[in-house]
Amino acid sequence: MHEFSIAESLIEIVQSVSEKEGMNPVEVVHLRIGRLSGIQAEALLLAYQLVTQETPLEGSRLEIQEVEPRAVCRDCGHEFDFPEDFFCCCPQCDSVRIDIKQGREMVVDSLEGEVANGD
Amino acid sequence: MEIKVVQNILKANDALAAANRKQFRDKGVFVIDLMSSPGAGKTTLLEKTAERLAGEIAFGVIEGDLATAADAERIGAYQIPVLQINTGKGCHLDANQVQNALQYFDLDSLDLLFIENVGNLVCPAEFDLGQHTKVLLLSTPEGDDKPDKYPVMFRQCPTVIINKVDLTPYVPFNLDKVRASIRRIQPEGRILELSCQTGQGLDAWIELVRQETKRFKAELQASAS
Repeated sequence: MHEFSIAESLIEIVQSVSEKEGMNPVEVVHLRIGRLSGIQAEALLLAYQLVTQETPLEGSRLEIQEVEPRAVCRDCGHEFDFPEDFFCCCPQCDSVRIDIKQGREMVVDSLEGEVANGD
Repeated sequence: MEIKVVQNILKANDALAAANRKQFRDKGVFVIDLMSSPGAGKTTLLEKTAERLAGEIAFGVIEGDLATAADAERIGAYQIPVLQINTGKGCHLDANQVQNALQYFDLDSLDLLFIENVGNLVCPAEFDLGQHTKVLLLSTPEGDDKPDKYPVMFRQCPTVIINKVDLTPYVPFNLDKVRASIRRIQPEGRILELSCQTGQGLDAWIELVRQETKRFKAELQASAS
């Protein structure tokens, strides 16, 4: 629901990294978005397109890799897939003391594009 | 050519939230982020809290809403320091808005600060404000399926308050079902049941606020010595 503000934070990062590294143009922005992050990929793609209009990033595209939720048991250390309905206990020892280990991330993973004097 | 970045998109917000948290710690202010859907009773709960804790715990309130200063006016009537943030179209408060609001408070004179977030069970879950704990309010007319439908929010809040329990005879809301859903999503959390209208269950909430504030202060003192 707040994909526009996410897109704005995202382009700040992309702009600052691409300027520092001399990447122009940026062609692809690779993201890792956890399935529990509350970000809807389609809404973010649209917001990114609109927010980058008439900026140096216009024409670049997002590649979103979704990250499946994983949890780890605080009692026995077992790691397992965390169900999206959140109804969950450790499949090995039945403990409810579990921590979500991945699945909430929103990360700019890498940029692809042309770098002057790059190889 | 590919350049590795690996940066959290919300890192700017998270850095500001960490700065807020440090400021709260330095000033000895315990901070509660209060969240719910619109109309669940956040402001009324704060009014009741003001009635009961006035003169005992010095607290301030940051109010977040898309528009109007109606909530700040309600809280201000209790002679409590309050600031209204209008987010315009924003569906949540962020750490930057909270940081800007803090300059209007004399934090040295406060023990406790409530941040009443924008009414929404989705977006506020993503944005760290620098709070020490999160309290979620669910009111019975919203229906007993809300924990199952918004698990991300329920998972994050160690305290869930079920408000308007006086209306359970009139609305389809199965308390047992909701308790079970919340416990499955957040097995280590606590559930309070109350009615701001009748006063039922309010004592437990006030006692919780009292104890948590005291515990925070004691931890600060212990780490300082």
